[in-house]
Amino acid sequence: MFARLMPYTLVAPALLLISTLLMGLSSVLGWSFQGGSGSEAASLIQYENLATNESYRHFFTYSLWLAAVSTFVALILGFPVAYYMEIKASPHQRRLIFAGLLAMFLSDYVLKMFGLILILGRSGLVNRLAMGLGLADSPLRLMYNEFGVLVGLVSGILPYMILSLNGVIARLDKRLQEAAALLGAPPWRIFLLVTLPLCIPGIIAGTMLSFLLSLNSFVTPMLLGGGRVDMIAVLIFDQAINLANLPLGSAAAGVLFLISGAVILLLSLLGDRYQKRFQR
Amino acid sequence: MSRSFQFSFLQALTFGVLLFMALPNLIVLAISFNREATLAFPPSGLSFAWYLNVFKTPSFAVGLQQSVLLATVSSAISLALGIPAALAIVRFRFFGRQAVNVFVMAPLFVPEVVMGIAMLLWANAVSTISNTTTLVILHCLIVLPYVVRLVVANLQGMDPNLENAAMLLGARPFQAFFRITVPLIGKGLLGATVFAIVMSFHNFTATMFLIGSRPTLPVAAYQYIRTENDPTVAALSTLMMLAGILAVYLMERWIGLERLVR
Amino acid sequence: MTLSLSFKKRGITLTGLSVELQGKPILDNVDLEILPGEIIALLGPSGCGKTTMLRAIAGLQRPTAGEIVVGGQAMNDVAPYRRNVGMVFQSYALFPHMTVAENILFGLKMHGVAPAERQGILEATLSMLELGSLRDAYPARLSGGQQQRVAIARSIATQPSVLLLDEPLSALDKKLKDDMRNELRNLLKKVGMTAIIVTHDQEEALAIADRVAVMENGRIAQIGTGGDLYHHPNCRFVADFVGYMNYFDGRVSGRSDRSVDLDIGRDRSLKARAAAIAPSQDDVIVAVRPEAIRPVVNATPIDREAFNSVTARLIGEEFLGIITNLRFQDDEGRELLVIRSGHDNRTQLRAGERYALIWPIDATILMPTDAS
Repeated sequence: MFARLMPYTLVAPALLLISTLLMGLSSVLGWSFQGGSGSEAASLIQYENLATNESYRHFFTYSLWLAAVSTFVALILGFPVAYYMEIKASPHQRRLIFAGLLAMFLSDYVLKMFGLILILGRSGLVNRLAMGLGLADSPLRLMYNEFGVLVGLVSGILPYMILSLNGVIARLDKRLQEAAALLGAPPWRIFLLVTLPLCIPGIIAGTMLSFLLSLNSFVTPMLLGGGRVDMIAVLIFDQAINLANLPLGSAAAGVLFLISGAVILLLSLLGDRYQKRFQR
Repeated sequence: MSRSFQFSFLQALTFGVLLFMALPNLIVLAISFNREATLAFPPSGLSFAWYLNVFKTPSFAVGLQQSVLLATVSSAISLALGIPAALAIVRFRFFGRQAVNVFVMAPLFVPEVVMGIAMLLWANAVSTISNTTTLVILHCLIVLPYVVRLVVANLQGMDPNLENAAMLLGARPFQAFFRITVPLIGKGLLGATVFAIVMSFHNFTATMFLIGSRPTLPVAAYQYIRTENDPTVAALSTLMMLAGILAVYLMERWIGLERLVR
Repeated sequence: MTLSLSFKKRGITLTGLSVELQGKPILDNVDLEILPGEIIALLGPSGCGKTTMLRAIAGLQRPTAGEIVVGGQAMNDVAPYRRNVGMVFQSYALFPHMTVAENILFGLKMHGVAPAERQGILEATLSMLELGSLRDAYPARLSGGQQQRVAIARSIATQPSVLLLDEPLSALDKKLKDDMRNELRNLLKKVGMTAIIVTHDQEEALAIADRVAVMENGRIAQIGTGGDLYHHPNCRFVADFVGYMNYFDGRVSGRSDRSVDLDIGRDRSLKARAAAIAPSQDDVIVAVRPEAIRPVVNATPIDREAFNSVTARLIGEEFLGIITNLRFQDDEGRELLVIRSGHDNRTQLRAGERYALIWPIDATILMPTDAS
């Protein structure tokens, strides 16, 4: 009897902690169904507001767009790095890159964005260089706009993307490439026909993680967008904290939660289907 | 010949991307020693004044205190809750095991802003709870999934027959745990602790929702960046980078970097 | 050498022991009686339930039904740490953070043995297993054979009533394995403890154990001495698992006091001893071990009352050093394997020629057909 209850006793405290989050999430749901002016009855007015008001809607569509673009750029930039460090780099180089990535992964996000401000700002590194080399007459506007936010998002998600991709590349059976080479395939064909298809699970995982991180990003639009770039997290924070409009903030959070869940579900299903084709 | 070109192109691209990722940190490092009170690059001269200023800025002192408190308390609690949970998940087969596994990982799937507003509303509902307590709970929620995952990985890497052997030699289950399991996954536990501390220390977005009068260190830095325009934050960043490098070094020694992320 | 180790010999009785895992029966109503001081081998392919039986006796696996009695005491509800059952795991499960001496002392500490007495037992165990020079070494530094000795030393230091060994030799290479078989048996007999050894290697089972239980699909197919299993297997599974066997489908066509006549098709018949069959069965499997058969030139006169004979063509020969495998095919297309000693070149055999394959009637084995 005791032995049978043992595992439940062991997990109970952890589950108790998690249940606070569930209570919080149900509060979010509850608040999101509140009407505007003190009315007690549950209503969908907040969601209606989010869906019909053009400026609110823009926060969602624009966030999705920025997340998609930044994820795509991170994938294009990240793949060569992941591939290089696993396939071409010497063990010593590999370790070094790995440690660097992890340091990046663990470094403070706010302070990383601060570093980007120093690069992209009016008197930042890029403008100094451009003007010094005579490429620009007056300072270029590199932040407090879409470009700045995109650079910030890509820089933020790159370590996650590279580490996800690196995971699958490391598990690749190197003999497959050798076998393909012995069968007469040139290197670029080996890459396209053997390496890349086997990396797809990692690409999906990295894409999912990066997309979600970008979509939910708060620090980047605040610091590199100057609060002027419409992203969902900014909307939620403004409504809930600055404007004390908890019902609308909760509804926006509810929608964001749904979108994130849908992304997770969609990409995991995609990954599963892909792997099921050739797994037992 | 074309091979060596491909090779060097890939290499150039790799180091370009790595430079892009590292550049913000390098710039911060350079500017932290700037003599003038501007954030302009290149620095005009060498000075350590901003490092001194870090310690003279009251909001940073408060932030450091608050962040250290949150990080230590929440990682201690997460370990206390996470180790038994991991043990149950790895060593027992029980009804609902899969569900528990998913449930413990649930916070990973909740966007940080949503988590922030959820805990804000939860604290409002409970009402008697202090700001710092809510923050501790929030940080526990953020850190717990990682702790469980790391401990699970460590336990799975251990021959379960070691515990069985100890029990057949007369050790009670708790004796087997403390004399065999803990020494063998000890380094993994240390690594999980450092990871938990780092995760808690750097959390910003969710924390922002629950900040009362006492900011955490990242929040204090954020507020400073938004209002001031001198290299003090650069100096603070450099100090935090040093701490980060120490954390990476410790984790490499205790768990191995590759095991941490895979 | 004076041993300060003493072992109480205890018997083990399993009654109706069953274990189900996720609805699948792993052990199916097993009865087994092990005498005090006896060495039993559980022999079978992987998945036959032999390791599960060991784990159930150790208390690491809860039975779904049945009883485990050790030394007259019911064990079902006794926790593993109170059973005083020693176990040598397949992986040895040596504590990697403890030296050889610390590994051996662990159980004594857990049992609350006084420090002075502990030291005495440690010395006795170390010298018995010739581990004295390795006392301060960590397990990772030891060879497979040394690790195995430490695992045995650790499990017998607490003087358990029963020793369980799960594939104890499987991690060793072939040569060492052959040496360790004898050493293990001698050691077990020297301390005289009841032991159960699990293995999938028939030679190992026959060499170490007093009796062997052949297991199939969670049941004991047959239990007996090596000779019993080899000369009188009760089914094809046992016959195949312990050595090789040639088979004929047969039908009893006549009986006398001393022998039975067996029809094996096309008017050919064989004889077997009457004692080899239960009187009621008509359809039987007739079997003969390949090494009982001798090929002779076809015209050789044969004593039909003492020998069976089948004509067959030699279709293949494999010289393997100690033995030679000869493959024959009879007129019905049945393939027959004959094993001769590598030194047996009295008869020069030629491929494609027909020979008479003869074997003593005493060596003819009868088994029930698979359907029954």
